[in-house]
Amino acid sequence: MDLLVKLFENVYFPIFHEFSVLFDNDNILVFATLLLIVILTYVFKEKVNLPLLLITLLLSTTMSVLVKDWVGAPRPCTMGIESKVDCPVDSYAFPSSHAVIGFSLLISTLGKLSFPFYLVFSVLLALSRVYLGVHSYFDVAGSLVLSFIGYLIARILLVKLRAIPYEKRI
Amino acid sequence: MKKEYERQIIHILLGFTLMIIYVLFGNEPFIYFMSLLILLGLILVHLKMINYKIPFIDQLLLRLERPNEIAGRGTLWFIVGFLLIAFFSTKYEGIAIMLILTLGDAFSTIIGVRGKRGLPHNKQKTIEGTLAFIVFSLPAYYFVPNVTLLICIIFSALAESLDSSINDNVKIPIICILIFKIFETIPMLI
Repeated sequence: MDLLVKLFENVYFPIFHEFSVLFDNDNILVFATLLLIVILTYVFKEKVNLPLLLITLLLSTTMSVLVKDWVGAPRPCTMGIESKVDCPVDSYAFPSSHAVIGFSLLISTLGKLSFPFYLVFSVLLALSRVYLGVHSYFDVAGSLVLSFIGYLIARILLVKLRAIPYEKRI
Repeated sequence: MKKEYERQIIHILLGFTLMIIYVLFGNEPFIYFMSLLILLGLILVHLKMINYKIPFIDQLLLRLERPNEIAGRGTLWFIVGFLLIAFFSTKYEGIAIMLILTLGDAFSTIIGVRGKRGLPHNKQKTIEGTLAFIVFSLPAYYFVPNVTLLICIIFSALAESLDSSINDNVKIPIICILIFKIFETIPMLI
Protein backbone atom coordinates (compact mmCIF):
# COMPACT_ATOMS: atom_id res chain seq x y z
CA MET A 1 0.00 0.00 0.00
CA ASP A 2 1.36 3.38 -0.88
CA LEU A 3 2.93 5.83 1.50
CA LEU A 4 0.36 8.63 1.32
CA VAL A 5 -2.61 6.37 2.11
CA LYS A 6 -0.81 5.07 5.19
CA LEU A 7 0.17 8.61 6.16
CA PHE A 8 -3.43 9.81 5.92
CA GLU A 9 -4.94 6.76 7.64
CA ASN A 10 -4.68 8.01 11.19
CA VAL A 11 -4.85 11.76 10.70
CA TYR A 12 -7.85 14.05 10.93
CA PHE A 13 -8.09 17.56 9.42
CA PRO A 14 -11.53 18.97 10.46
CA ILE A 15 -12.21 21.30 7.50
CA PHE A 16 -10.63 19.04 4.91
CA HIS A 17 -12.54 16.11 6.39
CA GLU A 18 -15.85 17.91 5.85
CA PHE A 19 -14.86 18.80 2.29
CA SER A 20 -13.81 15.20 1.56
CA VAL A 21 -16.97 13.66 2.97
CA LEU A 22 -19.16 16.19 1.17
CA PHE A 23 -17.53 15.56 -2.22
CA ASP A 24 -17.57 11.80 -1.70
CA ASN A 25 -21.26 12.02 -2.57
CA ASP A 26 -21.51 11.66 -6.38
CA ASN A 27 -24.59 13.86 -6.71
CA ILE A 28 -22.96 16.70 -4.79
CA LEU A 29 -19.78 16.31 -6.85
CA VAL A 30 -21.62 16.53 -10.18
CA PHE A 31 -23.76 19.45 -9.02
CA ALA A 32 -20.79 21.37 -7.55
CA THR A 33 -18.64 20.72 -10.63
CA LEU A 34 -21.32 21.97 -13.03
CA LEU A 35 -21.95 24.98 -10.81
CA LEU A 36 -18.22 25.76 -10.73
CA ILE A 37 -17.99 25.48 -14.53
CA VAL A 38 -20.98 27.80 -15.03
CA ILE A 39 -19.72 30.40 -12.53
CA LEU A 40 -16.10 30.45 -13.75
CA THR A 41 -17.13 30.44 -17.43
CA TYR A 42 -19.44 33.38 -16.81
CA VAL A 43 -17.07 35.38 -14.57
CA PHE A 44 -14.02 34.98 -16.83
CA LYS A 45 -15.99 35.05 -20.11
CA GLU A 46 -14.58 31.71 -21.26
CA LYS A 47 -17.54 30.51 -23.32
CA VAL A 48 -15.24 29.75 -26.27
CA ASN A 49 -13.38 27.17 -24.16
CA LEU A 50 -16.55 25.41 -23.05
CA PRO A 51 -16.71 22.74 -25.84
CA LEU A 52 -13.14 21.63 -25.16
CA LEU A 53 -13.75 21.54 -21.41
CA LEU A 54 -17.02 19.59 -21.63
CA ILE A 55 -15.80 17.10 -24.25
CA THR A 56 -12.60 16.47 -22.27
CA LEU A 57 -14.68 15.93 -19.14
CA LEU A 58 -17.07 13.56 -20.92
CA LEU A 59 -14.34 11.50 -22.61
CA SER A 60 -12.11 11.27 -19.54
CA THR A 61 -14.90 10.19 -17.20
CA THR A 62 -16.17 7.62 -19.73
CA MET A 63 -12.64 6.24 -20.10
CA SER A 64 -12.19 6.13 -16.33
CA VAL A 65 -15.28 3.91 -15.99
CA LEU A 66 -13.97 1.57 -18.72
CA VAL A 67 -10.43 1.45 -17.32
CA LYS A 68 -11.76 0.71 -13.80
CA ASP A 69 -13.34 -2.53 -15.03
CA TRP A 70 -10.38 -3.37 -17.28
CA VAL A 71 -7.73 -2.98 -14.57
CA GLY A 72 -9.88 -4.21 -11.67
CA ALA A 73 -7.62 -2.78 -8.94
CA PRO A 74 -8.90 -3.22 -5.36
CA ARG A 75 -9.52 -0.21 -3.16
CA PRO A 76 -7.15 0.51 -0.24
CA CYS A 77 -10.09 0.18 2.16
CA THR A 78 -10.55 -3.45 1.10
CA MET A 79 -6.88 -4.14 1.83
CA GLY A 80 -6.61 -3.28 5.49
CA ILE A 81 -6.71 0.51 5.32
CA GLU A 82 -9.43 2.04 7.46
CA SER A 83 -11.56 4.38 5.35
CA LYS A 84 -13.24 7.48 6.76
CA VAL A 85 -16.45 6.82 4.80
CA ASP A 86 -18.28 3.63 3.79
CA CYS A 87 -15.87 1.67 1.63
CA PRO A 88 -17.31 1.34 -1.91
CA VAL A 89 -16.54 -2.37 -2.20
CA ASP A 90 -18.72 -2.84 -5.28
CA SER A 91 -16.43 -0.74 -7.53
CA TYR A 92 -12.75 -0.77 -8.44
CA ALA A 93 -10.10 1.80 -7.53
CA PHE A 94 -7.92 2.59 -10.56
CA PRO A 95 -8.31 5.35 -11.69
CA SER A 96 -10.15 7.73 -9.38
CA SER A 97 -13.16 9.14 -11.27
CA HIS A 98 -13.35 12.07 -8.82
CA ALA A 99 -9.75 13.00 -9.64
CA VAL A 100 -10.40 12.53 -13.37
CA ILE A 101 -13.14 15.17 -13.17
CA GLY A 102 -10.83 17.64 -11.42
CA PHE A 103 -7.83 17.06 -13.68
CA SER A 104 -9.91 17.23 -16.87
CA LEU A 105 -11.10 20.68 -15.88
CA LEU A 106 -7.55 21.67 -15.00
CA ILE A 107 -5.92 20.56 -18.26
CA SER A 108 -8.63 21.95 -20.52
CA THR A 109 -8.41 25.41 -18.94
CA LEU A 110 -4.63 25.75 -19.27
CA GLY A 111 -3.79 29.34 -20.19
CA LYS A 112 -7.21 30.58 -19.06
CA LEU A 113 -7.95 32.83 -16.09
CA SER A 114 -10.04 30.13 -14.43
CA PHE A 115 -7.04 27.75 -14.28
CA PRO A 116 -5.91 28.61 -10.70
CA PHE A 117 -9.41 27.89 -9.37
CA TYR A 118 -9.54 24.52 -11.09
CA LEU A 119 -6.00 23.82 -9.84
CA VAL A 120 -7.09 24.24 -6.20
CA PHE A 121 -10.31 22.28 -6.83
CA SER A 122 -8.59 19.36 -8.57
CA VAL A 123 -5.74 19.03 -6.07
CA LEU A 124 -8.14 19.13 -3.10
CA LEU A 125 -10.46 16.64 -4.78
CA ALA A 126 -7.60 14.26 -5.59
CA LEU A 127 -6.12 14.45 -2.10
CA SER A 128 -9.55 13.98 -0.53
CA ARG A 129 -9.83 10.53 -2.16
CA VAL A 130 -6.53 9.41 -0.64
CA TYR A 131 -7.41 11.03 2.70
CA LEU A 132 -10.69 9.10 2.87
CA GLY A 133 -8.86 5.84 2.18
CA VAL A 134 -10.93 4.96 -0.88
CA HIS A 135 -8.08 5.50 -3.36
CA SER A 136 -4.31 5.27 -3.34
CA TYR A 137 -1.99 7.96 -4.71
CA PHE A 138 -1.37 5.58 -7.60
CA ASP A 139 -5.09 5.74 -8.56
CA VAL A 140 -5.07 9.52 -8.41
CA ALA A 141 -1.90 9.83 -10.52
CA GLY A 142 -3.48 7.46 -13.05
CA SER A 143 -6.38 9.88 -13.28
CA LEU A 144 -3.96 12.61 -14.31
CA VAL A 145 -2.68 10.50 -17.22
CA LEU A 146 -6.21 9.55 -18.26
CA SER A 147 -7.30 13.18 -18.21
CA PHE A 148 -4.43 14.05 -20.54
CA ILE A 149 -5.56 11.31 -22.96
CA GLY A 150 -9.15 12.56 -22.75
CA TYR A 151 -7.93 16.08 -23.45
CA LEU A 152 -5.84 14.88 -26.39
CA ILE A 153 -8.80 13.11 -28.03
CA ALA A 154 -11.09 16.10 -27.37
CA ARG A 155 -8.54 18.46 -28.92
CA ILE A 156 -8.13 16.25 -32.01
CA LEU A 157 -11.92 16.16 -32.45
CA LEU A 158 -12.28 19.91 -32.11
CA VAL A 159 -9.31 20.66 -34.38
CA LYS A 160 -10.87 18.36 -37.02
CA LEU A 161 -14.15 20.24 -36.64
CA ARG A 162 -12.15 23.48 -36.87
CA ALA A 163 -13.64 24.55 -33.56
CA ILE A 164 -10.18 25.42 -32.12
CA PRO A 165 -6.79 26.13 -33.70
CA TYR A 166 -4.38 23.57 -32.27
CA GLU A 167 -1.45 26.00 -32.13
CA LYS A 168 -3.17 27.77 -29.25
CA ARG A 169 -3.47 24.65 -27.11
CA ILE A 170 -0.87 22.33 -25.58
CA MET B 1 19.92 24.58 -36.64
CA LYS B 2 22.13 25.05 -33.55
CA LYS B 3 19.04 25.71 -31.46
CA GLU B 4 17.47 22.46 -32.70
CA TYR B 5 20.62 20.51 -31.72
CA GLU B 6 20.57 22.07 -28.26
CA ARG B 7 16.89 21.15 -27.96
CA GLN B 8 17.60 17.55 -28.82
CA ILE B 9 20.58 17.31 -26.45
CA ILE B 10 18.33 18.55 -23.63
CA HIS B 11 15.72 16.01 -24.79
CA ILE B 12 18.28 13.18 -24.51
CA LEU B 13 19.63 14.37 -21.14
CA LEU B 14 16.15 14.71 -19.67
CA GLY B 15 15.17 11.32 -21.05
CA PHE B 16 18.19 9.59 -19.53
CA THR B 17 17.75 11.39 -16.19
CA LEU B 18 14.14 10.21 -15.94
CA MET B 19 15.15 6.71 -17.04
CA ILE B 20 17.80 6.55 -14.30
CA ILE B 21 15.23 7.64 -11.70
CA TYR B 22 12.86 4.94 -13.02
CA VAL B 23 15.51 2.21 -12.84
CA LEU B 24 17.03 3.25 -9.49
CA PHE B 25 13.89 4.00 -7.51
CA GLY B 26 11.30 1.75 -9.15
CA ASN B 27 7.81 2.31 -10.44
CA GLU B 28 6.00 3.73 -7.42
CA PRO B 29 8.43 6.54 -6.42
CA PHE B 30 8.77 7.34 -10.12
CA ILE B 31 5.00 7.81 -10.43
CA TYR B 32 4.99 10.04 -7.32
CA PHE B 33 7.81 12.14 -8.76
CA MET B 34 6.42 12.38 -12.30
CA SER B 35 2.87 13.29 -11.28
CA LEU B 36 4.19 16.12 -9.10
CA LEU B 37 6.44 17.20 -11.97
CA ILE B 38 3.43 17.29 -14.29
CA LEU B 39 1.49 19.50 -11.88
CA LEU B 40 4.47 21.83 -11.66
CA GLY B 41 4.81 21.73 -15.45
CA LEU B 42 1.14 22.60 -15.90
CA ILE B 43 1.56 25.62 -13.63
CA LEU B 44 4.67 26.79 -15.53
CA VAL B 45 3.05 26.30 -18.96
CA HIS B 46 -0.02 28.18 -17.74
CA LEU B 47 2.13 31.07 -16.49
CA LYS B 48 3.90 31.24 -19.86
CA MET B 49 0.57 31.11 -21.73
CA ILE B 50 -0.60 34.17 -19.84
CA ASN B 51 2.78 35.84 -20.56
CA TYR B 52 3.98 35.81 -16.97
CA LYS B 53 7.70 36.49 -16.65
CA ILE B 54 9.66 33.77 -14.85
CA PRO B 55 13.36 34.48 -14.28
CA PHE B 56 15.82 31.82 -15.54
CA ILE B 57 13.00 29.70 -17.07
CA ASP B 58 12.36 32.48 -19.61
CA GLN B 59 16.01 32.54 -20.68
CA LEU B 60 16.05 28.77 -20.99
CA LEU B 61 12.87 28.74 -23.06
CA LEU B 62 14.09 31.57 -25.28
CA ARG B 63 17.22 29.55 -25.96
CA LEU B 64 15.50 26.23 -26.56
CA GLU B 65 11.88 26.60 -27.64
CA ARG B 66 10.78 26.50 -31.27
CA PRO B 67 9.24 29.76 -32.50
CA ASN B 68 5.41 29.96 -32.52
CA GLU B 69 5.13 27.08 -30.08
CA ILE B 70 3.63 27.22 -26.59
CA ALA B 71 6.55 27.37 -24.15
CA GLY B 72 7.12 24.08 -22.36
CA ARG B 73 4.55 22.17 -24.45
CA GLY B 74 7.01 19.53 -25.69
CA THR B 75 8.55 18.97 -22.25
CA LEU B 76 5.13 18.61 -20.63
CA TRP B 77 4.06 15.96 -23.15
CA PHE B 78 7.45 14.25 -22.73
CA ILE B 79 6.83 13.88 -18.99
CA VAL B 80 3.23 12.75 -19.59
CA GLY B 81 4.60 10.15 -22.02
CA PHE B 82 7.00 8.83 -19.37
CA LEU B 83 4.22 8.65 -16.78
CA LEU B 84 2.06 6.77 -19.28
CA ILE B 85 4.88 4.28 -19.77
CA ALA B 86 5.32 3.83 -16.00
CA PHE B 87 1.61 3.02 -15.62
CA PHE B 88 1.00 0.68 -18.50
CA SER B 89 4.32 -1.16 -19.08
CA THR B 90 6.40 -3.75 -17.32
CA LYS B 91 9.86 -2.62 -16.16
CA TYR B 92 11.89 -3.73 -19.19
CA GLU B 93 9.23 -2.79 -21.72
CA GLY B 94 9.14 0.58 -20.02
CA ILE B 95 12.90 1.10 -20.31
CA ALA B 96 12.75 0.04 -23.98
CA ILE B 97 9.96 2.51 -24.81
CA MET B 98 11.76 5.26 -22.88
CA LEU B 99 14.89 4.59 -24.97
CA ILE B 100 12.92 4.78 -28.22
CA LEU B 101 11.33 8.03 -27.08
CA THR B 102 14.64 9.48 -25.93
CA LEU B 103 17.11 8.35 -28.61
CA GLY B 104 14.96 7.57 -31.65
CA ASP B 105 12.95 10.76 -31.53
CA ALA B 106 15.99 12.98 -30.85
CA PHE B 107 18.26 11.49 -33.53
CA SER B 108 15.50 11.47 -36.14
CA THR B 109 15.49 15.27 -35.79
CA ILE B 110 19.29 15.69 -35.53
CA ILE B 111 19.92 13.60 -38.66
CA GLY B 112 16.61 14.34 -40.36
CA VAL B 113 17.22 18.10 -40.64
CA ARG B 114 20.39 17.37 -42.65
CA GLY B 115 18.61 14.88 -44.90
CA LYS B 116 17.89 15.60 -48.55
CA ARG B 117 15.32 12.99 -49.55
CA GLY B 118 11.76 13.83 -48.48
CA LEU B 119 9.33 11.11 -47.48
CA PRO B 120 6.63 10.31 -50.09
CA HIS B 121 3.80 10.97 -47.60
CA ASN B 122 5.37 13.98 -45.87
CA LYS B 123 7.86 16.25 -47.62
CA GLN B 124 8.64 18.04 -44.34
CA LYS B 125 10.32 14.88 -43.02
CA THR B 126 13.21 12.99 -44.61
CA ILE B 127 14.01 9.34 -45.27
CA GLU B 128 17.31 9.85 -43.40
CA GLY B 129 15.41 11.04 -40.31
CA THR B 130 13.08 8.04 -40.31
CA LEU B 131 16.00 5.63 -40.78
CA ALA B 132 17.88 7.38 -37.95
CA PHE B 133 14.82 6.89 -35.73
CA ILE B 134 14.91 3.14 -36.40
CA VAL B 135 18.69 2.74 -36.02
CA PHE B 136 19.01 4.79 -32.83
CA SER B 137 16.01 3.01 -31.28
CA LEU B 138 17.72 -0.36 -31.64
CA PRO B 139 19.53 -0.23 -28.24
CA ALA B 140 16.05 -0.83 -26.79
CA TYR B 141 16.29 -4.37 -28.21
CA TYR B 142 18.81 -5.16 -25.45
CA PHE B 143 16.01 -4.84 -22.86
CA VAL B 144 13.21 -6.50 -24.81
CA PRO B 145 14.82 -8.86 -27.35
CA ASN B 146 11.79 -9.87 -29.39
CA VAL B 147 9.89 -9.13 -32.59
CA THR B 148 7.27 -7.05 -30.77
CA LEU B 149 9.85 -4.41 -30.00
CA LEU B 150 10.97 -4.20 -33.63
CA ILE B 151 7.33 -3.78 -34.69
CA CYS B 152 6.96 -1.09 -32.05
CA ILE B 153 10.05 0.74 -33.41
CA ILE B 154 8.83 0.59 -37.01
CA PHE B 155 5.33 1.78 -36.16
CA SER B 156 6.74 4.56 -33.96
CA ALA B 157 9.05 5.68 -36.79
CA LEU B 158 6.06 5.75 -39.16
CA ALA B 159 3.96 7.67 -36.65
CA GLU B 160 6.79 10.14 -36.08
CA SER B 161 7.03 10.74 -39.82
CA LEU B 162 3.36 11.67 -40.08
CA ASP B 163 2.27 15.26 -39.77
CA SER B 164 -0.21 15.41 -36.91
CA SER B 165 -1.29 17.67 -34.10
CA ILE B 166 -0.42 15.00 -31.52
CA ASN B 167 2.98 15.48 -29.95
CA ASP B 168 5.51 12.70 -30.71
CA ASN B 169 6.34 12.48 -27.00
CA VAL B 170 2.92 11.04 -26.29
CA LYS B 171 2.24 9.44 -29.69
CA ILE B 172 5.23 7.06 -29.44
CA PRO B 173 4.45 5.71 -25.92
CA ILE B 174 0.77 5.17 -26.80
CA ILE B 175 1.70 3.23 -29.97
CA CYS B 176 4.30 1.07 -28.21
CA ILE B 177 2.10 0.35 -25.18
CA LEU B 178 -0.77 -0.68 -27.48
CA ILE B 179 1.53 -2.92 -29.56
CA PHE B 180 2.93 -4.62 -26.44
CA LYS B 181 -0.59 -5.12 -25.05
CA ILE B 182 -1.89 -6.54 -28.35
CA PHE B 183 1.04 -8.95 -28.68
CA GLU B 184 0.65 -10.03 -25.06
CA THR B 185 -2.69 -11.49 -26.07
CA ILE B 186 -1.18 -13.46 -28.94
CA PRO B 187 2.01 -14.89 -27.36
CA MET B 188 2.63 -17.45 -30.11
CA LEU B 189 3.70 -14.70 -32.48
CA ILE B 190 6.39 -13.30 -30.17
